[in-house]
Amino acid sequence: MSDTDVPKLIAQGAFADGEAAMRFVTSVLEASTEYSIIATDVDGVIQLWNEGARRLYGYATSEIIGRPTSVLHVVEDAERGLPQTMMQQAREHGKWEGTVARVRKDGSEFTARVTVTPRRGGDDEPIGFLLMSRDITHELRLAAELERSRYTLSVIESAPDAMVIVDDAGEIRLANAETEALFGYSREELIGRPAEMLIPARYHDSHPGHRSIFFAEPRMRPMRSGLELSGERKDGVEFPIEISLSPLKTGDVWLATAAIRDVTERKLFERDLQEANIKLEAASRAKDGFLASMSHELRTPLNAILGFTGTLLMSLPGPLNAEQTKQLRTVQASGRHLLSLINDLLDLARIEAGKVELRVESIGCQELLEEVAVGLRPLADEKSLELAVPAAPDRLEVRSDRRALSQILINFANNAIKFTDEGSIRLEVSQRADDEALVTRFSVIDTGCGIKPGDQERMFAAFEQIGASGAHPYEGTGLGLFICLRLANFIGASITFVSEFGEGSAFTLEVSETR
Amino acid sequence: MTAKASILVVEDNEHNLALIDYLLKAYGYAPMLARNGSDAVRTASEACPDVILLDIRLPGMDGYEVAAVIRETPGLERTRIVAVTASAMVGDRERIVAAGFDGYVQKPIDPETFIGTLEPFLSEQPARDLAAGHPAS
Repeated sequence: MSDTDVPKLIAQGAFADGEAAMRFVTSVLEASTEYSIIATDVDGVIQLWNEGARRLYGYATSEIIGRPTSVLHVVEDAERGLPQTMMQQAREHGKWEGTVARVRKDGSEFTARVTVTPRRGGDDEPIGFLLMSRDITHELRLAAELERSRYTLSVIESAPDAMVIVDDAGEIRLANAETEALFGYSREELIGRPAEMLIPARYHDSHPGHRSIFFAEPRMRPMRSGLELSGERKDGVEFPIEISLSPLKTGDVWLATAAIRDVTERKLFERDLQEANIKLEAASRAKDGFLASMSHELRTPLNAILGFTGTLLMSLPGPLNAEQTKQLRTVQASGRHLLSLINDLLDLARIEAGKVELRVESIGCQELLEEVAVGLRPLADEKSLELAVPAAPDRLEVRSDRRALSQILINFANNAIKFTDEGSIRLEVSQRADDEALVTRFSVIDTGCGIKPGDQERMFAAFEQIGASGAHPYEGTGLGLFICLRLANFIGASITFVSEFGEGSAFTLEVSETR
Repeated sequence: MTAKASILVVEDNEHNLALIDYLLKAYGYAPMLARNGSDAVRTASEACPDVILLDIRLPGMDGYEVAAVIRETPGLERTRIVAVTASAMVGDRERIVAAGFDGYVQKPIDPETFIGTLEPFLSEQPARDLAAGHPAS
């Protein structure tokens, strides 16, 4: 046995008396400041409390002697009889060992590694227990940190980007597998070498400056934040890279974690996209040219058709009989109709091709309606219809595209005149404002024939002619409302209508301006 | 009839040329005709017309080029150039005005109003105004 065998030492006369032996044992117990040593009786009542226990639990010896060990447990453990279980096990197996939640005098909790062993009397009967415990909170935290570090390392290692950790002197401290794959160096060739080895020589002078800037104010710099550089492989091949930087502090040392991505493919893709855009622009220009040519080529023959029909009807070459006049009028009407179709189709083609320029300006609503009315008054007068623009109480203004508004309203009014045989057409404007928007409503209200419910659905479709019956012979192109809808859509307005067959219709253009 | 303005019509489409020729004659004018840009320039330099009715889309030299040459030709300072064109796309009118044309008539023309539209350019009065630096609108 070693010379810590106290009974043996006593037997050898190492101590002057029992008191000296006791002082020796006590000094040993009290010197154990990092281990809590507690002795209890068989029922777990504390009998001895050393310096380590005082430090660990915060109780003075006088406060704790005579109290059960259950006060050192968290309530849940005490309630489920853990203290008894520990003692029971120690008695049966000679030892209980485990990790236990402990409570200090001040109520704070910690994790302790506890060993319980039975103390035996002279007859080998248990006379109590010895509890040795140690605070392992710190160890657990270290273990967790280690685990986290391992996890971080595994994440870095398996990252899809090349990841390089560099210190403030620019030395590579760590590089992952993807770095090896991307740059062609082994890790042995990288670690401890300057990071500049990964970029082309022409950047070697400027790079340390960038690094100083980063370490002067270490903060996250994500990808696509303008850090576009070039990388250079071991074999000298240069390639475009994108890099993100994040600071990493270990102890007092700042490190930079760089994620490096090869953007060769993206650059190629961007170039392809740019080329495609150039082609698209060329195609768009070709389309413009085509539209202009088509417009010109379709009008050119109509010039001679309508022109000579006109000269004949003017009787310039000589007088016509009634039948000749009638037939030439038909040629003229059909020619004019063809011209309207060409104009409408070109309008439509321009809107669809996005060739209509949106010019938003402040427009006086009443003035706009009056302009529309002036242009159409001759047509209304021909049918003895009243075309009225009732005065609005206030001067209302709308911010929109004048040409589009005007074209839509002219179309509405034109239709209203066309389908009204007696009564009036009223052009009205009203405005309402709420917190979100200013809504301007232009309405064209007629006392005409109205629209049958069955016709209302197809009214806005291309080439649909509503009411092209005996009373209202074939007129217009059937594209008017279709174009209106497209134009309204283009300027962000909406079109609604109400119609009572035989009573009249009201078409409304609603322009909403968000505030 | 001697007071009538002299007119050069430049138009590559035979039917349209015939129409304008017919209309002008019906109103008592005796137009000269050209079917392409270089003919137009040659005829204009020789005959010094008061008014040129100029198509824009012409084979070879187009209407813009013809107008530019005529504007630079000595003796044709007083000649008024009116575009008669089937180009009706957005911006065409602005482009024509910017190119220094005095007027613009869109095809298809309306024979009933055509001569009336040209009236300001056909009477001799505005030509003198132009020479005096007061172009008619």
